Amino acid sequence: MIRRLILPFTVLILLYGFYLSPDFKQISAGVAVFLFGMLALEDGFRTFAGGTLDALLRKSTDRLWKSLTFGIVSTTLVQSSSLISLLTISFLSSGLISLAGGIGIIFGANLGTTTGAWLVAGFGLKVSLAVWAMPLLVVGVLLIFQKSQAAKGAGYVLLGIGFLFLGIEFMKQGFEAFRSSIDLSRFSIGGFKGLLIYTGIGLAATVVMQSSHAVLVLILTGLAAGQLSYENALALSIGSNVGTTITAIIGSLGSNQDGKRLAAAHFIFNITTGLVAIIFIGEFMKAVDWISTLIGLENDTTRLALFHSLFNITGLILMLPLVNTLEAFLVKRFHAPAPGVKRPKYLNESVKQFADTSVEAVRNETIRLYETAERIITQSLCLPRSELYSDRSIPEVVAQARKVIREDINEKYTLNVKSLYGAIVEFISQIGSPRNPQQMEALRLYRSAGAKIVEALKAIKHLQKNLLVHMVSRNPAVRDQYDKIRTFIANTLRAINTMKNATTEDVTILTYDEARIELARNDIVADGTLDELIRSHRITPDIAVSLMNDYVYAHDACNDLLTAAETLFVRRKSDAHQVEVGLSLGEEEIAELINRENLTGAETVTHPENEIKTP
Amino acid sequence: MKLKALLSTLSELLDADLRQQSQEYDELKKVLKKMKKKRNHLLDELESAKKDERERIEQQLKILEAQRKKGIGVLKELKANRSKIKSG
Repeated sequence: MIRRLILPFTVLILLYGFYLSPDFKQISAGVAVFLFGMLALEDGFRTFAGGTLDALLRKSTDRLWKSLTFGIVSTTLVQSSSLISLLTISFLSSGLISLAGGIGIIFGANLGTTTGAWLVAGFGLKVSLAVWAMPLLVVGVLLIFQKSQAAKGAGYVLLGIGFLFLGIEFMKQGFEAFRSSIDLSRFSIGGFKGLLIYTGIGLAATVVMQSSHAVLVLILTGLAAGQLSYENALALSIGSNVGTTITAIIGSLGSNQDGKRLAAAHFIFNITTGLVAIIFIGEFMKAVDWISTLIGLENDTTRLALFHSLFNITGLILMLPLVNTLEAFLVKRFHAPAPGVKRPKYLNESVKQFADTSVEAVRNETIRLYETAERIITQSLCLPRSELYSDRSIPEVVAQARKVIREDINEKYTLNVKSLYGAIVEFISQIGSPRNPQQMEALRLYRSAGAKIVEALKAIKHLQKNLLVHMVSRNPAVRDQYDKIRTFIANTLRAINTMKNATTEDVTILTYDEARIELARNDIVADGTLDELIRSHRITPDIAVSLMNDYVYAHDACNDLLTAAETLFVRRKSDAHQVEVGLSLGEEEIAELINRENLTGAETVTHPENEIKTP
Repeated sequence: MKLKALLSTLSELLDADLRQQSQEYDELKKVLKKMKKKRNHLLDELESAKKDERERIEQQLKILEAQRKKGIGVLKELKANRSKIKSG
């Protein structure tokens, strides 16, 4: 009930305020325009949160100093620590970066955000920003109407900067006019009491506005207009620094354990920094005065910017040596529930915010689906995984694996695979339309890969019934044939494992096509083996029918798994991989290669002098 | 002549199709180079391989050769397309 009343009540108070004071209206409009500018800026940068940012994030977070620098630089450029926090939570949740890397970015973002205060204090309050805002708005709108996503993104960024400038100008003018009617500095409270009260106000204002940057600009313009005392402005900036964590906390609510850990790290950092600033406010003020005299900062606004930077740097110096301890504490505090296969690990609300992270999360979850299905398949075929993925020859592994394990595929399928695939399909349908056709195509391919994995498992389920009986048959011919089936399935699984662990230097499609050729060769009807077995009375016609059906099931399963593997492990994000997939051999080319081999026997290998010249 | 080259580079930058084809061409060249390296590596392995290993390597070499042949065909096609767009 109270929640429902908050919005109308706030609107009424604002309207009453507008009626009472036109200057208050102008300041509020300034805040509104500024916040709208932030939204446009965030929207613009989200457009670029595609491949470039993704690749940059991966490279910039393997070391603490790198992630720290990334946090500082990106927040300085974007001028929104909230966007960087949300982006980091999203990337962490989708498994793109590590927790330590995420903590580094968040710490860096805290320092990067202080550059905003410097820009406004040193530049924004001295010149008329409206002059700059107009051309930015015009060019920004012009770019938004372009077809290209990059142009649109740049348009939103320009529009965002334009609105930020306009908002600052409105606030500045509002406060200057306000000064002639009401003197807010009369309400300034001195001493420790004032420090605590104004810290609380700064915190509340940031929670309401969801932007520490907007609050800081408001403080700076108020301070420049003489409506705020310097001490109270310092307290407000401490409060706004703590209040900014609320955006990350809200953002982490829909994320997984890692996202929650990161939001907690953000909160711990800012609350520690805030407490240190409150406790040592006297020392900080002395340090600010000393540095100001040293570098020649005269007005209160630049001194406030210096204070803001100084206490964030102190926080960084205090917290940096504790990053590993903090990480260990957070991992212990926020228990990740044992990743029961039934529940998705990578799909959550926070990754939905960016098209790129949602696509990556779907890929990771589909890989997890494959891993789950692969375990069920190896158990169903009574193949020990440790041997299967060793250097030993597959026929040898298969020949030794004779212990019959009765695995209930139906139960495992319903509990683990079906629920997981259902979650993937549901997630894809909820994402809505991603930003570009490549991302849409990737999602379509991942959904289809999931379907292939499910189909493969169903085929193995049909095969398992006869296989468990005949793999220990007294008839060696029958046993051999079922061993052959197990062998080519095992070959396929090993090839997929090689593709999964391949580096960029490996020719993945070679493994892929080799597995497909191996599969095509194992056709007992086409190569006459089945006829021969029946003619020589080594198997009964009934067994022959079972064998034919089971070969089909095994072929279908392997083809489905290879198709899924091509999507998940060969067709990666890079253009080189996309091109490589195009060189994979088609059905006819594979058939031609096998036929040529059958006709000529062992062919001679092409020697370098006869080779086709690579242009 | 310089102006012609400049115009050609500029049109390549502005034409999205041409830019994409050019990118694809470069990527394909890289992939073919990687394949050639792999082929040479396999040929080295073949010299010291035992009989059962030899069969596997020979098989891989045949596949690799077929894939490279396909790749070179695509590369030629891309090159022809590019010059067609540029000229016309």
